[in-house]
Amino acid sequence: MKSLIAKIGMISALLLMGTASVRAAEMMGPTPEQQKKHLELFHEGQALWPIYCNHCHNARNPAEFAPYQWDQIIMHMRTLENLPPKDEAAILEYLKTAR
Amino acid sequence: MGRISHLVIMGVAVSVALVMTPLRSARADESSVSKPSSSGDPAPSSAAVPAAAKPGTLERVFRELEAERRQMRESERRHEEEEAAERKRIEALEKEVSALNNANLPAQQTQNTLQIAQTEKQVGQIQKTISSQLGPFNFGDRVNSFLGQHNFTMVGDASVGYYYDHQAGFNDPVLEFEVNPMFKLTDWLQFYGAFGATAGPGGISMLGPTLANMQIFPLGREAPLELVAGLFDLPFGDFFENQGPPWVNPFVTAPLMYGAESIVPPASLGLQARGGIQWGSLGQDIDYTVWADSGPSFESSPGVNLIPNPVIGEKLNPLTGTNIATNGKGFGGRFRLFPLPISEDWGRLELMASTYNGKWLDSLWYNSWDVGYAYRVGPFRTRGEYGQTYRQMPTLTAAAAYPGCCGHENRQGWYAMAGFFLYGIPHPYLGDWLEPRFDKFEFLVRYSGVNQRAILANDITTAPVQGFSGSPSIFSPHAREVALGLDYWLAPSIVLQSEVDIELPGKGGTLYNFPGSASFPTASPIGPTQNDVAAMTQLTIGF
Repeated sequence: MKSLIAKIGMISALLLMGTASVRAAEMMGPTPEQQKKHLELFHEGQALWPIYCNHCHNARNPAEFAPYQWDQIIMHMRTLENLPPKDEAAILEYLKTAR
Repeated sequence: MGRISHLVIMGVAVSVALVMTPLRSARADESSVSKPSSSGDPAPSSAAVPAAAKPGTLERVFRELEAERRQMRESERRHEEEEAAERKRIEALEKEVSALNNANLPAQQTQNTLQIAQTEKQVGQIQKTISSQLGPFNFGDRVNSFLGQHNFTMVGDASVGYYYDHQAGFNDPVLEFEVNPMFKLTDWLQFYGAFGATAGPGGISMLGPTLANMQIFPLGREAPLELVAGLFDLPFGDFFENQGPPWVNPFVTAPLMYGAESIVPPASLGLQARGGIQWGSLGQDIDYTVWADSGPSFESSPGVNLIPNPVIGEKLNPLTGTNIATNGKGFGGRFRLFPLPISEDWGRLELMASTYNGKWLDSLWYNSWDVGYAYRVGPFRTRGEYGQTYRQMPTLTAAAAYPGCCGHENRQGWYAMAGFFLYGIPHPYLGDWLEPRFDKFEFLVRYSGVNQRAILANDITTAPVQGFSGSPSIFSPHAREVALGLDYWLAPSIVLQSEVDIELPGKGGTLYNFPGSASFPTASPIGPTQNDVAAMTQLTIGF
């Protein structure tokens, strides 16, 4: 009986440690792949921002608005200008990071 | 004993003498090579006389010294070369470090952004947990998890100007203010509105809401489908949606086809579906906008009743949403193609076609179509449109039949504009103070016109408001306008605009009028119409 309890305790501890490890990995921040993806988006947005925005009006300075404001403004501009989804994400990434 | 002492002393003296003799000659040799004469004369000094007695030794010493000097010079040269090489290597390494720092900066910023997002997410989770424990049946938690985070942002514009018109004889200030609240409920839903006020010689008026709609992403942000529901700018052509705000439109006024005698309504109440996709390289896009709404309406429409009966030449009602009583239904579409990839640095070109159709009164149709283009590369930009509308008119008989009443109404409108920023002109000698100011100027020119069969006298107003010069010549069946502009861009969204409009209306057409409480209009031919000039200056801030 004692050995059964010990086994169950051991398995529970292992499961707990595994779960904690996964959670800790999530908390560590972006993986290198995610960072690379964000960097690619940033550069794409950097190329698109002056051309797409200037098409209708002078491109606004990224520092003019806070990141949460850019979230809303680009959401609106995507609708108004029918931006392709990936281009919207790239321009948003650029504006929020470059500020 | 004394003798022995003398002998010892003499022996010591002789020994010292013997020891001293070779030492002195060696010092003499040394001094002869280490101390050249002060005049630089290579001739040996008097101290070198003993060494001169041994020329072979001196030559050998010179050779050795020369060899040592050469070795020292060679060593110095090698050190200098190595030092130069080290310096170059250090410079190269410093450049590499600088390049790596620059390359890492966006990554670091991205990481910071992601960390902030992660923290916000954690805080959101904690808030959710707290609210779920406080609310009954986890109602708050469920609502929050459905709607997500809420954000509120306000943008808008303000402008103040001074308008002059020769024919109307006024010289007055105008003011305009508009705010656009944006309320983001979740990643797939945002509310957008427009409220404002204008002031001028005609008085102060509050405008609002001129826009009020929901932007919905029913399939998420990754899908090229958005819905817009509510009161929105009519996506016919590009002007109302994309060039409407005063800080976006490089001119003070609108082109004639979208101005006081607009050939289409500026806004609509309905539902849009729209989106864009990339069909080729980056920048090569195609997009669509289709919509259904409550249909176009005119001043005579039921529920509007600005004039008692329909007449050719009457204005479109500004907001189609106010004419639900007409039983009208409208639908439209706009398609745009962007053929140039951005990698080629050819700028951005847009080719556009749109249409809007609907029943403006019971079974009577209003049809319109429009084609246009827009192009911008570097300091140069241009855009233009041509549109046409067709309206079925009611068949009138007996007393109701006014002259020219029956048949259909056609209108055409067009504009073409071009602008050039002066930074595109080489100007190397302007100096540090003048050059940046010179770069901010933009020269503009626009030609626009409208053709229609008639004008309604009741529509004519000469009170200027923001974006409208108040010139009576605009209210002509064949209005033509040349607009010349000079903008000074203080910032991307702050501009000091100056514009001269030359009105050159053509001949012909009919003037209708509803005098007093008359139910049917009187008609009179319009002869040659006087040309006019208006001048406007305006400071506009987009925020």
